[in-house]
Amino acid sequence: MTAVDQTLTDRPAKTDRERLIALLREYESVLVGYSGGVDSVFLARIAVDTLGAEKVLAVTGRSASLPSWMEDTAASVAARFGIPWLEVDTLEMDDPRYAANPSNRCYFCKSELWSRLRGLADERGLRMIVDGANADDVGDHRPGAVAAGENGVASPLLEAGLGKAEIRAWSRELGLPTWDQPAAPCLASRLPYGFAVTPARLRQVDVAESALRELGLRDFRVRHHDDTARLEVHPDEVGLAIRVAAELVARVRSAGFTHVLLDLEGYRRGSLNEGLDATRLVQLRSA
Amino acid sequence: MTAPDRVAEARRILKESGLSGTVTIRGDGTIAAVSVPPEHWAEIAGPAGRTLAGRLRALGFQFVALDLGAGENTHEGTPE
Repeated sequence: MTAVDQTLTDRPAKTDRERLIALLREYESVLVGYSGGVDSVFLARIAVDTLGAEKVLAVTGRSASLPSWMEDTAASVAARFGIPWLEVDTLEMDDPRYAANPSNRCYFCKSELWSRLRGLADERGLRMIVDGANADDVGDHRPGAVAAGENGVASPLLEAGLGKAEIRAWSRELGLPTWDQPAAPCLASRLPYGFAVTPARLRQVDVAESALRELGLRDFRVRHHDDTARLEVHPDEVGLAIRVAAELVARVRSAGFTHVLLDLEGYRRGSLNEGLDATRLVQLRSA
Repeated sequence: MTAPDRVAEARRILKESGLSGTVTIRGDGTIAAVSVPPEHWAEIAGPAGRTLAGRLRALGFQFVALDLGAGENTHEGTPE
C-alpha cells in the first residue's frame, strides 16, 4: 500500500481524492507543470505515488519571473520525495506582447511554457500534461488557462473538485513541506498592468521579497510602482513589519526602490486586478 | 478633482481623523502615501487605517499606504 493509498483509507471523505487518483490512472503517464508551489508539488507527489516515478516528469519553467525561493523549493522537494524533475528555460521576456504587461500577460507566458512542455512530453512519450489549477481557482482572472487549453493541458485537481484546503490537508498528511506555504504567483504579478516587465524589475521584487522573508514575514507581496515599493502584508504580520521597519526599509531600498510604503488595507490576492473592468477579465471556469 | 485638490482633501481627512501628518502622491498617481510620526504607525496600520484608506480611495486613489520612510524625509509634503 502506498502512502497515498494509506491516506485514502484513513480518511472518511474520499470522493474527491478517489476521483483524482482515478484521473491520474486514466492518464497513464504525465508531465507535471511544476512551479514549486503548493498545488503542483502536491500533484507531482500524488502522480509519482499513483503511476510510479518512471511515468512522471515534473518540469519547472525557469525565467526571471520565477521567485528564487520557489525554484529552491521545487528542487529540494523533488530530491526528497523522488520526483523526477527537470528545469527548462522559458523565453517569455523576449516576447514584446508579454513584456508590455497587458492584462492578459499570463496568456503569453503560459503559451511559451506549455508549448515547450508539449514538445518535451511528446519527446519523452508522456501522454498528458497536467497543471495544478484547483477548484478554488474558478472565477479568478486566469488568462493563462486559455493557453493551457490550447495546448491540451489537463487540470486534474480542478476536475476532481479538490480545493486549496483539501490540498493543504492532504499535503500535510503526506509530509510535504509546502502544505502551509503561502500562495506564490510569478513575480510579474507584482507589476501593475501596463508597466513593462523587465528582468531588472523582477529582480528588484525578488530581492525585496527575500529580504522580507528573512525578516520573518511570510504572507505578503512587494508591489512594484517604479521608484516605489508598496508592501501588502497580511494583517497578522503588520505588527512585525512595523517593529522591523527600519531594517525593512533599508533592505527594500537596497533592492533599488526609493520609497517604501505599507499598504493600509494589507495583502489581498489580485489587488492589481481591482482596476480591471469585466471585459478584460478572463475567468477560469469549473470543470 | 485635480491632483492638488485630491491631496488637499486627503490631508483634511487625515487631520479630521486626529492624525498629524501629510499625504503625498506616489507611483503613477495611483497611490496616496500617508506620512505620520512613527508613534502613530501601529494605530494607522490597524482598523483605523483601513477606515482612512476607504475615505481616501473615495477621492480616486487606487491604493492608500503608510510611508515607512517618514521621519527621514520631512520635505515630502509637496504633491508630485
